[in-house]
Amino acid sequence: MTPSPPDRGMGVPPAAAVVAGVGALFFVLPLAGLVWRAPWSSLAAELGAPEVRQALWLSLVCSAWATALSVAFGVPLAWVLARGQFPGRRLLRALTTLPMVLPPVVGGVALLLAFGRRGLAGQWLDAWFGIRLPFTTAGAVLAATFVAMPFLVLTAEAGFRSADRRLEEAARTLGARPGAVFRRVTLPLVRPSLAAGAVLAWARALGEFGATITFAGNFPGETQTMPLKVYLLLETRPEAAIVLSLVLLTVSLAVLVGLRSRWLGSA
Amino acid sequence: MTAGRLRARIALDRGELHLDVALDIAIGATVAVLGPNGAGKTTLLRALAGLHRIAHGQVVLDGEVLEDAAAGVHLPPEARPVGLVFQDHLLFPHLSAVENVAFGLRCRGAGRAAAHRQAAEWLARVGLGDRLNARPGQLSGGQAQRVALARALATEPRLLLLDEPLAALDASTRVEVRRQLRRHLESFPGVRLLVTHDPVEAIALADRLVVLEGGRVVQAGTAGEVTARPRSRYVADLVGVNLYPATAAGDRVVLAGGAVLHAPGAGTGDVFARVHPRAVSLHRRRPEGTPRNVWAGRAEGLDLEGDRVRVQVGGAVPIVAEVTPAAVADLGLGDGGEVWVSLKAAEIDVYPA
Amino acid sequence: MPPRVPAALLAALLATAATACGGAGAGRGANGSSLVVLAAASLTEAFDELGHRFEAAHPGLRVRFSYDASSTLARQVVAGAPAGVLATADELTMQQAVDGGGVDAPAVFARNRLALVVRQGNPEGIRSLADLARPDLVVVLCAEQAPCGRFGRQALERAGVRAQPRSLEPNVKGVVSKVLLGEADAGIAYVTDVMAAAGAVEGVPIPDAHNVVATYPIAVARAAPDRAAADAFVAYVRSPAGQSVLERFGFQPA
Repeated sequence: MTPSPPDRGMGVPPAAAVVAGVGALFFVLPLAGLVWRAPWSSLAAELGAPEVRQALWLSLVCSAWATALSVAFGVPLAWVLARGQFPGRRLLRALTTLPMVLPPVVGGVALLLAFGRRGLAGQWLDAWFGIRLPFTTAGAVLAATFVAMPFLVLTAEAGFRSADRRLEEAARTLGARPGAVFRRVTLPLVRPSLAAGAVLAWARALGEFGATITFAGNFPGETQTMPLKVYLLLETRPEAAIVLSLVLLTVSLAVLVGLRSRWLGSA
Repeated sequence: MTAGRLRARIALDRGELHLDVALDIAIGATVAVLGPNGAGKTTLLRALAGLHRIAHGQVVLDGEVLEDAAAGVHLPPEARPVGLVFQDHLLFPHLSAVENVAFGLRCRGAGRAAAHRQAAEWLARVGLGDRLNARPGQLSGGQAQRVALARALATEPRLLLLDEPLAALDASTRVEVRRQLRRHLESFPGVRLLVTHDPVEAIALADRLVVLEGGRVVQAGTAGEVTARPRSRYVADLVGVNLYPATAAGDRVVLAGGAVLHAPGAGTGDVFARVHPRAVSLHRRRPEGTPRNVWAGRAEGLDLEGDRVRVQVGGAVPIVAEVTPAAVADLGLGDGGEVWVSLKAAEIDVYPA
Repeated sequence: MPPRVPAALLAALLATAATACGGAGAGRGANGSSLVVLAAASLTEAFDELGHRFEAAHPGLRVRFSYDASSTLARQVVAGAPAGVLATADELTMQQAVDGGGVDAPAVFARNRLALVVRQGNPEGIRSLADLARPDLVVVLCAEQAPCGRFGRQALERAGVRAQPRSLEPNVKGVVSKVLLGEADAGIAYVTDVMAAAGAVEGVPIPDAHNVVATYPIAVARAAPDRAAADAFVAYVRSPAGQSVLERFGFQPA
């Protein structure tokens, strides 16, 4: 008995394949350009420069902190948005997504007016606690969190919405108090959404430029993250800028590919 | 000591449903709440479990007040000694079978090892001792339902509620699971209540039936009592008999539409008149003879039931007659048309409403 | 008390920062009735005025400006941005543009000097470059890549001052805005920037011995879509009429 040929299903219509191919080129070509113009011979020398390592380290630290803060504050916020019933909920949801549509520099200006030394909240932070956020790494983290958290809130909210409430009811009938229900049933159920949101937030935080340079400023070792360094290097040593861009690209790719299969389920 | 008794009056409104049910159930008898979809069966169960608040009434289990609407007492579900087996089993997909069963124990403070040990015992009791680490997605419908049962039983509730326990199973598994379920229910040391829309399931699993329609109890009793003397269209349809609400006047009963049937010894007052389809005879022409009840009607539908045919006859007194296929052919009933009905007075069973 | 922010300056800040992120807003210029001028950030106010007057004198011709650090603009011209004119704040960056084949024959059209920019009312009592070494002050400077950054460092060296800047802004307007918003106490900018933000910031003069004279060259870009318009603009800037406008904004003559 000859085995039947594998079932191909519907197949991809040629028109869709062509359009998709153009779309794919859109992503591939810029990256290919980077690789093509990379100064492979001087790669090691550029990478060894201390301010390069400094900028990379700062970027990783800031984006990690931004992601952690986004999760810590974003998950409860997402839960409230998904399950809460209170007036102004829609407005709150719109506000949390605002940083996504705001040009990052505008976000930076807004942060200055809120958390700057003379800002709405900033002046009290300074007067009561002596906390000053601009020109500090904490300020860079704040700027990155501001632009990255909406990604987490959005995906987490969608996850909470789609979680089966009946499973939570089942847990309650088994004796789980609301806190235990959240920890042992709801959170595990939305874990894929949370993971996807965290990855998106991290990627956004890593690449943040406009809000960082406007709010936190630019100083090596303190607030000069990779994107800022690349921007400035472009004027003096473009090859170094390309090298740094490649490093950012590699690190991001590694994390995205590595995380995807483990946390987001099979692709 | 009022151990082993559920006394509840549950009245609440949910959308279009106005539920008002009183229950008094002791250990030892499984009670099935039977009713059509939308009657409020699931709502009743969820209210007993604490997932809905009651507007009026109270729920008292073993002398402990779980809910009292007037006094504002409402124990949340997690504080009630109630176990609920859901229709779609609702096993936690991210946990294995043994973890699912251990869930309730761990919520109550048991350590991981102890909880898993007990859970494994319960799974063995339902015949799944070899599937401890299977995920719900890897279990068949019947296996999943058994895990759900073990999960509810593991917390040793004093009230066990089952929501359409066999509905999600296919016909072949249903028979086997039903048998096992009956065994487990009988050995359960607390009060047990199940709801279902399937009369076969109700009769097979329960000792007492409570018929729920439109949020109200219309009939209660043993299976035999309920089926012998239906008190609602729903039960009559389930059992497959003709049922007429009527007013009795000595030797006749007056039906709702004004038609009169002769039925000696009918008594007086509001009654139900029950007629088995087999007692109904059909003729092409007006018959002569002893039957006192004779009228003309219209053959409106035929249903084949095994080796019999049920004929729906419309007219002043709608009635279903059960005849042989040969009779159908003889009478030419296949093309509809006028048909005469005759019914012996003695065949009409009249009982107080 | 929040600082009073002149709306125009805030708009200039946003526009400058936006272009800093997005590159030069290159004009269409294909049909010749539009001219794009890339100019150093310190020329913002003066060139806006020059642009209005030039448009008035040449009806039908629109002039559009892109202000950023000279180094950024030079790079853009070399990369082939369809601009007509390039004006930088020092000769070094203009030389980069010449070397890259972006422009021809630059000519100096103005000069500028540095000044300290401090917050309105000078609450910290800053008197000279030496004050920039005070650890309690928040100081911002231009990044080295920008001319104002190079000059600022030169001035500090000449004065023998070791400053601890908290931020290195990509262009001079960034320095001014940080001081204006009250985030920074002091910075080094151009005399013209202090004048342009008068009322919102104050200037402290830097003595000639320490100061650096910035020389501003202007040139027509090789890839200029409308060569005639570009030539005309350059000629206007260098003319007595143009020079008097520049003088009004605080620039010194060429």
